[in-house]
Amino acid sequence: MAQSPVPKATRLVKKVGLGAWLTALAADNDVMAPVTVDGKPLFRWIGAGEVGQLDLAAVHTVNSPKGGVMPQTEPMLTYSAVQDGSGGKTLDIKPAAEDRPAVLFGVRPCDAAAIDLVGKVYLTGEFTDEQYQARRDRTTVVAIACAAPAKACFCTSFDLNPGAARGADVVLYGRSGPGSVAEGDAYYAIAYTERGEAFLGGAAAKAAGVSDLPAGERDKLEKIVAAFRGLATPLGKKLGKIDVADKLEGLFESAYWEKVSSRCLSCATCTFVCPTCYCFGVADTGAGGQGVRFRYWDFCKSPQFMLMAGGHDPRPAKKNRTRQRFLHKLNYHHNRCGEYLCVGCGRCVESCPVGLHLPLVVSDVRGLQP
Amino acid sequence: MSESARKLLVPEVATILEIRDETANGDTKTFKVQVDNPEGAFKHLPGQCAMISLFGVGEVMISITSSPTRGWPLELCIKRAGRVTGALHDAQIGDKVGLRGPYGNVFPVEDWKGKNLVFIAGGFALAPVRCLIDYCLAHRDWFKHIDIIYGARSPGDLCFKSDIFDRWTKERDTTVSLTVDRADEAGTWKGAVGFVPAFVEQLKPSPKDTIAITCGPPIMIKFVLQVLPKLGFTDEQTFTTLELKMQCGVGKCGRCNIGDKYVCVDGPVFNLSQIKELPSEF
Repeated sequence: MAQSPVPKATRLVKKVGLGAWLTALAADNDVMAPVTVDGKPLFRWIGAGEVGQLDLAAVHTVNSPKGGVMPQTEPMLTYSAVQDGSGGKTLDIKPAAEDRPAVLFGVRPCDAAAIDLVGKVYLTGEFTDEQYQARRDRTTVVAIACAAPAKACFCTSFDLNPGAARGADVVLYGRSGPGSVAEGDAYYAIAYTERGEAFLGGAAAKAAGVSDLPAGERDKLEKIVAAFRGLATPLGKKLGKIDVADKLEGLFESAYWEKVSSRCLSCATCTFVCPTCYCFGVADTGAGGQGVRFRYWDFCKSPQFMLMAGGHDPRPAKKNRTRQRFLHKLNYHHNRCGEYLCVGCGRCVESCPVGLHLPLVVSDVRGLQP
Repeated sequence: MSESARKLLVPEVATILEIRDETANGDTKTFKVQVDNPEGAFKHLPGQCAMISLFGVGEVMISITSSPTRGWPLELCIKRAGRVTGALHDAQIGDKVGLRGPYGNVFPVEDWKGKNLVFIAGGFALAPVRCLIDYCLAHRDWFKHIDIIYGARSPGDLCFKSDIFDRWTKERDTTVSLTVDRADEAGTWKGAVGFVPAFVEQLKPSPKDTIAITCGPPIMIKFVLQVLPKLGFTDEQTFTTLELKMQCGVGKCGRCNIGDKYVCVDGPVFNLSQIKELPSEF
């Protein structure tokens, strides 16, 4: 298990204070939080007026909060062509303006870890993505430990758990400990980064009545945090630790990919709900010499993903594209970065209309002959 | 750096200074481009590519065909293949494009000092090799014999005609051997006729102290890579450059991977030994 980070500050926040906290935050920040819309739990940017819809009950929002740091469509620049005085052409390009500071509130530990995991792709290597870096630099991630992991949860199959702090500036732990969805009347709010520490000491936190820990409660807090961190996940218990990276080295040509991919609808649901799917495309839109260049979530199971001008396509069949998606998560990324590109949130398990999801592939691969 | 250059995927604005037809049917053109802001004039090395874009249309990754020893403006040789390259072909001198780079790894030219070089190219894929040839010719003393073997479908499809028929043939200790798949009907082609791989087999370049660099259509590369071992070239003596669809060019967008390698940052230059390590999906 990964080393637990050292808390920088510990506070208590009453549940009744959450609304006031978010309302105060919304004055100076873009706030993304889980809300229930038409009966569906969704992560959304919310205004002060929507704070009442906050719903921290669902372990799984349908979408992950990845859009908070990787917008589904994100302008990168605007361009505008102009005729200069002498009849020549000039072209102005302006990098996209930066947004306000942001708070991603009520993020589950798996989704917070995904932000850190994917962030390494953007921020390490020969090139740093400055636009992504700027967004991360102005974003505070407030996670909430999972008191009752869902049936499809398997974060514990990785170096994660329902109380993990990876990727989070602050983690909220229900004061009554795990096991009950109600979580009691208050949360322990623990800051694990300097940003989190400042956040808990900020004006918005004061408005919410965020207070010091009551005297003598530290032992109880430590037990409760440990209980969250020791909590099992239903699917994780069945699946065990993911261990297929090496085995997959020898299975590129396996007939399995043809077999398992035949039912894929290429609908992109898995990719869009996945907190660690980060592949993007770049496109222009505009008219009359003015417009925007933006990036957008793309998906590797699309028949257009690798189709080149001229007709060449190195991944022409569903077999190739399905293999690409799972090998990226379970082998290629592991080879490059030393960890799996998955945090065990279970959304693919819940969302794939044909039941073609990562835990299934892991189980199947374990049974294949190399 | 200009304000725009600080952002990874935001290009420099550049101007098309010259457009040159390479082929008789007009499907391949070389664009000479200059960045408007001199501070944005990046330095490349042979093997590297740049993202060229038309605003409102899109971006494409194109190899830089002019040698860094020639500095700016850069030359990019582009075949009309799809939406963006089609729009570039319709562009005019003076039009503005976006340009960012340089991207990708480089040919390990320093390691080749004291050796013979054999360049084997087909069609407009002479473009990335041309950058390397000119770079090596600019450092002529580093190398022994230089062999340039080049072919195209027809005489009209041969690119960089002034280089292959004139400039390179005048270099010392340099041989240019040309072939076409089909001679023209007018009968003016007096050179060799036949596919590049067979032509290489017939010319039999010696593998002794020699590095072979090949680039062409996938089918040509495939067969050249079968011929070279027959002639005695080892996998470490044999280099090629790959291309796949790209969006970012900097290892972020998750697109151009072959197995766990990204062509944009781990390539495009690979030796045959490295190619053999890759899954067959390119």
